[in-house]
Amino acid sequence: MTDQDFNGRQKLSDQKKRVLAYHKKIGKRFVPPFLSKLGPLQEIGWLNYTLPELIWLAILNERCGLEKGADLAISLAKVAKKAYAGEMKKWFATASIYNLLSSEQKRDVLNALDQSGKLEEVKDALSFFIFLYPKYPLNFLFEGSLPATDNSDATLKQFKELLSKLYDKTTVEATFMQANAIYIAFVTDKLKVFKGLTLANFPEIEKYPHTEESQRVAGSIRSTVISLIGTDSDKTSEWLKYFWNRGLEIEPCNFQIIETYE
Amino acid sequence: MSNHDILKDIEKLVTSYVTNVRNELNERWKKWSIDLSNGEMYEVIGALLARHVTLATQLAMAPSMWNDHVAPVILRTMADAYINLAWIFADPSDRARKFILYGLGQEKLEVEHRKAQLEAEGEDVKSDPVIKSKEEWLNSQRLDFLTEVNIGTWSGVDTRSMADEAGCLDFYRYTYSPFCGATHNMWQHVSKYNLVVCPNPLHRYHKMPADPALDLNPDYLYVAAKYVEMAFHLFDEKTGTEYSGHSSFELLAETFAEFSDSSTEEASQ
Repeated sequence: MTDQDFNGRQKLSDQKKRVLAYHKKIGKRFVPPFLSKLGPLQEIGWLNYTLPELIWLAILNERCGLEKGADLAISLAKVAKKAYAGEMKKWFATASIYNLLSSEQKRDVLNALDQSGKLEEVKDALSFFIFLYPKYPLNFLFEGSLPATDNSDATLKQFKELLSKLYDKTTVEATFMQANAIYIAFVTDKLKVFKGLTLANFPEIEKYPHTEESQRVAGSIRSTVISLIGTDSDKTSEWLKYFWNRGLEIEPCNFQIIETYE
Repeated sequence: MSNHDILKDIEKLVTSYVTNVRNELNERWKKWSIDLSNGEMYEVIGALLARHVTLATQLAMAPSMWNDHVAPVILRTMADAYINLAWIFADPSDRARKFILYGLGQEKLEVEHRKAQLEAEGEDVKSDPVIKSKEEWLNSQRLDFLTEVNIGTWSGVDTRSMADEAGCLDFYRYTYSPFCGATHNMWQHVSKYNLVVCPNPLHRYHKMPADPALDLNPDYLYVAAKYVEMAFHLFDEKTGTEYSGHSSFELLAETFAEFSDSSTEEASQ
């Protein structure tokens, strides 16, 4: 035998390092150093948790523009925080958190938002989404009745286009969705950051993705969102199960054994 | 070149390879000095060598299987045959006997299962032609009441250890293990070859079952022929047999190169 194997690769015996040498061997498993040092981690899936929880922020941005979308999101979160008045500070960026509000508190939110003149704008922006997903936690904004909306194919197509852009957490749409979630954390005193940290330069995000600093801030936003979702959201929320399964009801899957032989 | 011409070329190539590789096997067998006082060893080694040839020729004659769905299953079996052969060669008399006794035990176990099944169904076990045939085969080699059934591995060690002991651990790592995915229908195989992504974003881009057609990949025939060549070389080295005829693998490789040259010429015209 030469010093190469039959596939032309250098024989392992000639290599100085063994494969997976930087892993920890536990029985028959090779555990990556990150896991072996930190122990089992709770995985926060973007599609399973973050996207369904924050999607309303992306819809407001899309329907109203970035500035107005952020303003409406902040307004809703602020009145919700005030109405909730619980001991623990909640992060009113996730949809499921609004399930914690009592009927009376929801009424307070509606009144406060109405008085600020923003209720109709929020409802208008979210109406099609709640028409599609009637069990959405923010459906209380419509006071028990399904919104009248333009349910045309074009609107559905528009929503699907937005949704497809949100699969990647680094797109502009997904980034501003998360940025508004962090913005909510700031203005509701859920989150404070030290001067000098990347996230302290939060306003730079408006330049995303055109400056390096905005990209750094976006990275910081993403990691903070993961952290907040991990600690401040209900992983058993019915909404999380409902969201994707409802998609199958809206448009049944053309499920078939695909036969592509010609 | 039309599809018809390509198919004719493939047919010619396959026919030529099958003939050549069978001749190679026959020539080697003829050149090996057989000692019938240790017949089992010769039978086991001869059978495993022929098994390489059978798997390669069957694959060669079925171009519809030259794809990622099926060819790895055949190649994994060939890799298994090679590792067994290499391990047996390290102590041929003893290991060839182990190989036979394990196989007899497996056949006996199969017979016992069949008997139990027939009894449960109220059938007459004694008149079952399958049992009769299998018992005759067993008893012609070793009486079944003397035959042990071993439900472990035939060699007493796992395939990786066999490959390590036989000096072909790299072959195990780079060939046997990767093809296991297809053979055992594991996730790394089925997720790539038997699922397609649903294009609807409302559906979380979930994956759906699929039976996709794959392009014919002649490289699989090349690899199968290469494994037979490896087995032949192993045989020559361990038995001291000096084979002086043409290498079926090299002839096949030359034909592939000619195809490649003619395709390049056609493309440039």
